[in-house]
Amino acid sequence: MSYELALEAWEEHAWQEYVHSDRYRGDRFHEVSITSHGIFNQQGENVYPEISWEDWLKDEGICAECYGALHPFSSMLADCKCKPKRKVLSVPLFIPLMIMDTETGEVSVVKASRHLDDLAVKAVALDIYKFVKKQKIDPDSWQSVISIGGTQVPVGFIVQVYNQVEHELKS
Amino acid sequence: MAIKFSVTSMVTNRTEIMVVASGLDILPAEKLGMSTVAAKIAQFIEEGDLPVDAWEESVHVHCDTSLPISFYRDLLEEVAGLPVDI
Repeated sequence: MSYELALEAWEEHAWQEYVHSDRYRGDRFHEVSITSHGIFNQQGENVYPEISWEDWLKDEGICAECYGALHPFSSMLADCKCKPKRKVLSVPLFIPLMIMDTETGEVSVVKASRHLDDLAVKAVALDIYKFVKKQKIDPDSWQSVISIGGTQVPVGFIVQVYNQVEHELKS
Repeated sequence: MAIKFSVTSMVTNRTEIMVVASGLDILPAEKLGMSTVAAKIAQFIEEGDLPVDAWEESVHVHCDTSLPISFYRDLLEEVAGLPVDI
């Protein structure tokens, strides 16, 4: 199994385990964040602590030590220090997006799943929603105050995030 | 005021950079940039660098200054309003 497929499988496995666990309280999908450190709810609790991504990597034959040594945000080939002849493909787990309050210059970095799927839209929108609340930005004019960028994401993704934030603010 | 935009097709990796200068304070470069970027996206679509039906999922627009998030939504409407001849 490739590194990328292993990650996808872990995400799906971890999510299913969480949904079927006694910790699942019917949370809406976007109320949890899947990260390389686990699945976290809005209170920051790891809701699926049984298996770490590092353990999963080990099961798939990629050592966690080398994974940790690789740059998490860039696709690159790197030498595995434990197995020098082996090349390990580092696939970015998350894409960093910078959101900025253009009136105050306050910046927050949010991380979108590199898949840029529906979950990523909702997770990023939730982070922006929290940022808008924290900065006490007028919910009717946040669109002209918040800037988003910093990495290569398609226009369509940003627009989906925009629509989701609007939905969050009105619900 | 001049600001620099780049349009990149994530399908073909074609990138074009445009420097937009309004020269008039009453017409912000950001507003001019909207039209310039939209026209460039339309050109990319016409020349096969972006898929007709899902161009927005394959195009990255970068700017050397911070753009409000509303820019991207308005950009969709701007491109949709152009007579893109496929």
